[in-house]
Amino acid sequence: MEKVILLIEDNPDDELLTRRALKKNNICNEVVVARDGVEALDYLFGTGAHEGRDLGEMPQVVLLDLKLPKVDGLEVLRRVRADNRTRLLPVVILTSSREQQDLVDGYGCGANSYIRKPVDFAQFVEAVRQLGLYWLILNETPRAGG
Amino acid sequence: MLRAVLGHLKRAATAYAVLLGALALTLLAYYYVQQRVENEARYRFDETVTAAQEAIDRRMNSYVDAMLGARGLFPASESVEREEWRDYVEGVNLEDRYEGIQAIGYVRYVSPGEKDAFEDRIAETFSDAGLQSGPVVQPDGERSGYYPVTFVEPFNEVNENLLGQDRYTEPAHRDAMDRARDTGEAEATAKVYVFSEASGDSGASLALVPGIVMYLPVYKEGEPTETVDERRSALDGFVVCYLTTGELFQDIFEEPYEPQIDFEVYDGDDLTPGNLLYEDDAVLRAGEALGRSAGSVSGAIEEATGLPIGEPDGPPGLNRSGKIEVAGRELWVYFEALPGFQVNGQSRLPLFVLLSGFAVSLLLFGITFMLARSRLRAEKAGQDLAEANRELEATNKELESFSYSVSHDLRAPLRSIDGFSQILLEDYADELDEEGRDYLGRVRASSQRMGRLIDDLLGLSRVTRGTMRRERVSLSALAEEVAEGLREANPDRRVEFSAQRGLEVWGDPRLLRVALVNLLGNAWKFTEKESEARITFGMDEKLSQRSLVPVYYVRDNGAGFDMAYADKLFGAFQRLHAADEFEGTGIGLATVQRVVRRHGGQIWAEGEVGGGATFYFTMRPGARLDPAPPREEARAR
Repeated sequence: MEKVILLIEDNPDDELLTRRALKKNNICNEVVVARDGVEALDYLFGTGAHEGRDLGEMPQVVLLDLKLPKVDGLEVLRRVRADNRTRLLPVVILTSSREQQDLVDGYGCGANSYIRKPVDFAQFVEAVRQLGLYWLILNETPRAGG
Repeated sequence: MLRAVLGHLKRAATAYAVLLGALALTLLAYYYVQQRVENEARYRFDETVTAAQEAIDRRMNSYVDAMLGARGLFPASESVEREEWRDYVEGVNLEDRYEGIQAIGYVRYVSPGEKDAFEDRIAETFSDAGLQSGPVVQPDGERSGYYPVTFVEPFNEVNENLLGQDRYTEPAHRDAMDRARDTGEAEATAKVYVFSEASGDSGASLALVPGIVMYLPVYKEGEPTETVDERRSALDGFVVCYLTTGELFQDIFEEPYEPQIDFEVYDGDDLTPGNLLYEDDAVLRAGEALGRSAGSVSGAIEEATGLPIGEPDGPPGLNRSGKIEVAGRELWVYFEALPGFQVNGQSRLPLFVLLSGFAVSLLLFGITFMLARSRLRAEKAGQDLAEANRELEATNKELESFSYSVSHDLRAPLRSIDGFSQILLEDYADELDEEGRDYLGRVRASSQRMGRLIDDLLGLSRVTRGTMRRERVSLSALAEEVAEGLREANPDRRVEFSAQRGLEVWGDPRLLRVALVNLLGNAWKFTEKESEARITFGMDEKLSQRSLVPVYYVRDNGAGFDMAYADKLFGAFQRLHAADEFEGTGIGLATVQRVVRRHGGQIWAEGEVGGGATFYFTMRPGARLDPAPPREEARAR
């Protein structure tokens, strides 16, 4: 059974486009969507709506938007990196922003990769293809919690 | 009001402290100099007074000496004859050496019994001299004894009147003669009037002028003179000396004495006009001065030494009175400094010190005041600047969050438009005809173009704000790099590019790269229709020399532009070419202009349609690196 991809994204259009881009690239992992930072943290730590979730199952990769309601992307990243259970989780920042400061902050908080969503959908599909190839197929991650 | 004054005092406290200090110093210096000048004046005055007194003393003694010399004639010869007397007086050269001596004579004591014989002898003398003989002993009358003048020299029109005169009848003369007879010393009369030559214009041949007469006793040869009684009975006569005090003191007080000191000589310590013997400047001052300081003067009149006594009255009336003993009588000399005495010399010095001290104090006050004020102004300006800076920072923050929103939120809908248009094209291609697909293609092209516009706008704003990081940048190397990037991006183009070597400046490498990317990118773009495209980057020597700063240029042989629109080149979204002719957002040159301006330079362009274009730009003077780099400019964000 292939691991899930956690997509943290508040814009349903972007969610749909991301799902399509994944599908176009034959990436068939289950996609779990969190609409804001709180929901994402609940899923990752088995709290709130995700109370009792099996924490042995961690996503293969987390696709993280920076601009999120409630708790923003950088804060989510910080908490993920601060917790032993999720410390080593691959997190890819996927955002519209191209501000230098966001890049610096993102890597500074421990992002594994930073990808800017292009306006051109064809380019976006290409970016997702490379992302999937790298993080889902090539990259080896240590066992979660392990 | 009070607060304003207090505030002013507080701000200018240093200035006022300086003023007070300087004024205090000035007053101190004034006081000191004043004292010095006064002391000097007093010293000068004292010197003069002492010298004058000594001169009087000396002169009087020399008169007494002359009389003593005359007395010496008597023991030497049994009886002194008139010729001997004349020889003696001529011998001592009386008129030249002893100015003021009117006559020197001999008064013989004649007892009533001897009177007739004496008168006969005198009458002889008269006829010898060819004079008419009147009553010989004058005044006439019977007395217990007679003291007629027997010889007198120099024997002239004035002095011949003295012959036979018996002055013992006058109290002043009698007093002097009695004292002389009893003491055996020379004794002077009080102030008397003596015959003198009349001054030239009066017409008379005789005048009575103030004077004193001195008597020196002559005793009979061989008789004892130990006691007063012995001396009285041994008396033969007196050597008598007539002095006119006017001539006498005038001679003494001539040069080299200070002309600005007035001398007055009085007989006795009662300094009133009745006793005046000599007056230097025809103004009586002693009485006035004594009226002013009677206590101090009369209180000090005690010493019998003849040395100066009496307190000086202090400036401006430096004065002093002192006595001199002359042949048993006291002469009082009064000295007073005239107003000119102190002006002479350095008396203007204290005033000068005071005035210049005031001036310097005011000057110092002014300078300190201005310094304090400009410091306050500088502080105020500093505060204003800090305030403005804070406002600017706030504005910058707002701008930043605005552009963040632009970059993030405006792009999301564009992505949706493009993405779903693409999905339509892919999944529903069969249901759309050619026209529908064309429309969707246009939707996609537009959204992508808008994405680029947003990116360029963000780029433009990033160029404007943010900190400048200045370092050594090789424009030549940067141009080569950018050209290489363009060549790689357009492998099918053939462009001949050349960059002048060794052009280094002091600037922000990121911004300068943006500028060159845009300038070279433009050149690349507008030469795409040329078969032999040429692009050069370099420094224009001629223009650099003329404008005194390096002028760099990017030249191409491309489409060029109409110079009529040259001023519109650098505005945002200004395009001189149709969108389908050359692609672009119209923000590139606006961005370049901002970069150049942030480096303190200017940008301008020359070109002609179809004849290529040249873009010139300069940088802040000194931005070029030779030889030492200028200090880094730290600009707050």
